[in-house]
Amino acid sequence: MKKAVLLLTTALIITFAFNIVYPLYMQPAVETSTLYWGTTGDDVREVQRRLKNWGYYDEAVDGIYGPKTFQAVKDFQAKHGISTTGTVGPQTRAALGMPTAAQASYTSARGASSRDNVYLMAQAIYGEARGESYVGQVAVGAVIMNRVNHPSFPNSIAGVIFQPGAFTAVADGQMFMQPDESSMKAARDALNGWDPTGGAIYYYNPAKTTNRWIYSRPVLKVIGKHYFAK
Amino acid sequence: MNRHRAVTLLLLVALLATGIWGYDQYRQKTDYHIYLQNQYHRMFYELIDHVETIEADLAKSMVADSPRQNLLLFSDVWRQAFSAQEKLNQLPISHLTLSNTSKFLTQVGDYGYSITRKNADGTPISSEDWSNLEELHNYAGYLTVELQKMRSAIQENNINLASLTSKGNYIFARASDNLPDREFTRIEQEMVDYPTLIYDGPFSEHVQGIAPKGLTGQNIDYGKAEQVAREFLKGIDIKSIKKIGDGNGDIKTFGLEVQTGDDNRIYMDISRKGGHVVWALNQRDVSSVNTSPSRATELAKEFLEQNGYKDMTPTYSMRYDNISVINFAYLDGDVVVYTDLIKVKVALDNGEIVGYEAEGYLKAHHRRDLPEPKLTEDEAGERISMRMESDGETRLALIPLENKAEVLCYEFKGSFGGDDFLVYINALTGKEERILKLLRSESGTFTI
Repeated sequence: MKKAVLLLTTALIITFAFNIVYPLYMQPAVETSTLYWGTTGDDVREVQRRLKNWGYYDEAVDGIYGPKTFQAVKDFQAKHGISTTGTVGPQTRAALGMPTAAQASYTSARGASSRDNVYLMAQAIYGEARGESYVGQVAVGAVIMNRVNHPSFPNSIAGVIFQPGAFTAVADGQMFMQPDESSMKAARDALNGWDPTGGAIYYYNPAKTTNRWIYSRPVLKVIGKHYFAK
Repeated sequence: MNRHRAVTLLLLVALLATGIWGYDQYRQKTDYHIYLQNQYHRMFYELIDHVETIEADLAKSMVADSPRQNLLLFSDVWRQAFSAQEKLNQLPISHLTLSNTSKFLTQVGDYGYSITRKNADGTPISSEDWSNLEELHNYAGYLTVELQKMRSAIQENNINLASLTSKGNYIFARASDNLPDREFTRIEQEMVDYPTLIYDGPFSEHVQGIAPKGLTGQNIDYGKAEQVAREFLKGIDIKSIKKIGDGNGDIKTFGLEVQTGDDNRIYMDISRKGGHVVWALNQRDVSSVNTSPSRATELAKEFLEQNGYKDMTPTYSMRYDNISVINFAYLDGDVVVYTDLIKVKVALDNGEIVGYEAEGYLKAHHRRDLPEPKLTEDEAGERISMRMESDGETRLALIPLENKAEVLCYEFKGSFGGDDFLVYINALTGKEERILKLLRSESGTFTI
């Protein structure tokens, strides 16, 4: 019995909440009513502005749907194969390029930012160069950016960082540590275009590198233990 | 006696447990290994498919005659090439071994894209394009044949691509005893010879090595560079300046490390030619905010003026870590020149300049004879989409295209469905050159 009451209450609360929330979300963002002779307001002004731009209307853009607007709308409709009603309904709206109810399905994606790339790059910098000076850390980030823009390398930050064998800290999993404040800052500077290396796409530590080939590349800059090369 | 038995039993149980654990570990390892192997083999097989399609598309383009057919073929080349490049770069083979092949795929795709763009503009494919395309086709053909051979070898010898990554096989890799690595090395040598491609895409050869245009003045020595640094850091208590690595990139520089009185380090590069500051970074932490972003913009502008950059206008800004980064573009009369870019970082605690980056400006800035617009602002305004709500802000701007060519445009600001946009209409041809979406986040305004 108690259980049934509880269940019922829960169901009621959910229904109630749904009824409040649902209309808020489902209402079209743009109210679209039909505009006709005598209507006033911003929508009318917008119609007049557009018609004027296209040369159908040459009176003042005053937001009042008068005879001239009526005539201009009819002319516009005739030209665009819409039945010449002289009122602005959804079809005419669409032809005018104004928002209609159908377009309300477009929602702007707020809050998207390059933050994830900042974090990913900070991880790579922290893994590869946490013992280096600040400028040495920015430089490692800059190499990643330069690779993204270079035809011989993948075209995305993630592609460059996770390319097999490209970075030791990625290969041995060291990069999956929490980056420190300095690496985050360095990642942002590198993403914003600071490049202390002068366009390098390789770097190596001569004390640790056994790869002969890399020595044949012209060195652009030495920062700390790292040689930055092209 | 009983105790012995107990110990033996315990050891037996332990041994059994270890055995089970070990077997489980082995099984897990095998699972992961097979999973990885499947991924790598999929990459490899798909790579072959993509390259085969590129070859076929380029071959078809030779006999295609209509812009419509060209559009279909080259957009497919573009798509296939980027997929191929992506897959190639996920194979467990050193990027040093793949560099030329990877570059070839990027450029084929980029070239395909540039041809589709030409198509959209109604520009015919030039004879130079045709000879480049023939050449590219031949390399795509070579690559196809080699990859197919490699595929048969891998199948016949039952080669496991996933084994290449394990440390044990590294020794083999170095001895070039593993087939894929050896084969790719051979292909790589062949790919070196493919032609230097000049076309209007971002990966074109001419974009890669543009000589800086904005470096004016005489060559300086290190002593002068130190003077420049002191002048640039006026108002900051300098304890010492140390010479660090020289820069040998497109701009030759002196590298300096400055130690300040309060034990911070400032790094900067100063160009050998003309003694311009190329970039500077002060690593100090900024922990509080006492300066408004608009004040920060003013301070940054004053700073640029003090350093001889008088005609700069702020274009957009970002805020993070209690720092404001303001982008400035050169103002040529009333035209905003977006290529001549300087970024200034202002600390919002005391308004100090903590970062500076002028590589864009120093590489691009030169005296330009800007053409007169052929379209009026109103004429250009008619070319923007009626779906966009214009907010009436319009100005002339010189913008860089993907191939680094500069075009004079009208810049229109507007919005659609709550998003903000910048639309660029070519002031000479009326072409809708570019659309940028403004990204407003808590940290500032970005353009993408």
